[in-house]
Amino acid sequence: MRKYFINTLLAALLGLSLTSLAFAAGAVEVKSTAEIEIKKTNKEGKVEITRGKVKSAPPGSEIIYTTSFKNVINKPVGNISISNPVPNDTAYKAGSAEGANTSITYSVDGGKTYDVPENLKAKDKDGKDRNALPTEYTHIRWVYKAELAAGQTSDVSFRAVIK
Amino acid sequence: MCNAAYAIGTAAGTPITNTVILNYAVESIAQPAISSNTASVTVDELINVTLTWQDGSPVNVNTPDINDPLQFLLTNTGNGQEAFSLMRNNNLLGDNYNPINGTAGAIFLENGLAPGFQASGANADTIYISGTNDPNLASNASQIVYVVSDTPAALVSGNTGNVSLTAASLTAGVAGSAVGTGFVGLGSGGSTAVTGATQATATTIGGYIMSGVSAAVNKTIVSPLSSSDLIPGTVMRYRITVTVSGTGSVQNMVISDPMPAQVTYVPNSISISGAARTDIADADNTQFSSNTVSINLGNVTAPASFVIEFQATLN
Repeated sequence: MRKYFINTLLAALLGLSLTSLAFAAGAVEVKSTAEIEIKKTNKEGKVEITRGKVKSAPPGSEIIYTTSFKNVINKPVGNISISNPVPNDTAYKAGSAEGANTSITYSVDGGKTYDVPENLKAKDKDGKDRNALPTEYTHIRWVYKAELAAGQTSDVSFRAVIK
Repeated sequence: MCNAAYAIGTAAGTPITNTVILNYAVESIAQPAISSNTASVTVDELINVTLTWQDGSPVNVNTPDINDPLQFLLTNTGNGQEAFSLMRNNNLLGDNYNPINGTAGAIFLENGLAPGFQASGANADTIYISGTNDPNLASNASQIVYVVSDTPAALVSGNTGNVSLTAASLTAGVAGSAVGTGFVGLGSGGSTAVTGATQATATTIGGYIMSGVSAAVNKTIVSPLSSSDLIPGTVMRYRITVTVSGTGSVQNMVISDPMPAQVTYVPNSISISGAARTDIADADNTQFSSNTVSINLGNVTAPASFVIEFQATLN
């Protein structure tokens, strides 16, 4: 407690906030990757699926977005939440969001509020509430349920179809 | 790879970007949010085309006839700007005759000045010349195309003649290639061109039907039945059948049958569909003069048929 007080005092004297003083460069590295699955029929006539990075794709293609995050400091990191707007000109693919040790919620209001799919509502033609369609999701949020230990990496992913 | 729900799709060349925000805490103290790199995917040009025949039913023509249009609608159902070649095929199976490329031109492009096909005049549509004015359409844009044909002579009412029109993407190698084939750099804006579900080509058939009016006249001897009975003094019964078919009417139709020297007409032997007629020029519509039987049928509206009979003695 005394050390914390001194840190705070020092920060105040230097005109810096505590947080920026602590980890100016960030304690977590975050990387987003876009990939696509390519189906090919092998010599035995079986369809093999390979996955690779994608730079361009036609409408109708399913893009797999993976977010990897790594703790790059020597202390555990907690309260991790990852929010990802569904990319422009794509539609979220139902049931595709994944992530070990995470709870996943979605937004249909541009990221203001998040909830589980059964609680997400949209208006029908007559202005009445109905369940929102996965293609209407605007954002996805993963809350990592544990601490990420020093040096540890994890990832979350979802799929979106190019409109 | 392709999803029918997105028929046209996001415009080719559009960048799709993804940036992730991560919030976290260290020792329960919230830290500034971190943004990821931006993962970007560019939308490829998916090349698709449709062609529909718009007349709804076979176009009526006469025999012979010139410059009758079939109307087609060419639509770029891909997601980028695309040019298409046009080609017609007159030689199809399953019809009665081959339409002929129109005297005015084989294929025309609607120029928007006046609805419908105009071969000439102030609002004349544009003749299509392959490689010169191939329709170059924005995504989801359409062009009305006229296939213009002449009709041969001597067709029978109800004869049909079909023509197919083929539109094909002019991006090299794409038309007819396997769905999903990629052509790096050949898409609009330098994107990859990708063969769509239509294989970047469309062929649609349109047709004509000969529905003008036509008249057929047939003359037979109904008695005696055997030519061996044709001895001098035999009375022969002639029958002329007149059939008017198709659509419309024949104006001022007159059947004239001069008697050959070998026969002598039997006076007042003429009848039309079983009703007796006289030879003199009077109110009824038959007469015999100058050794010729003539029947004035006047204006005849199709369909109609007449059975004319008269007798003559073999000299």
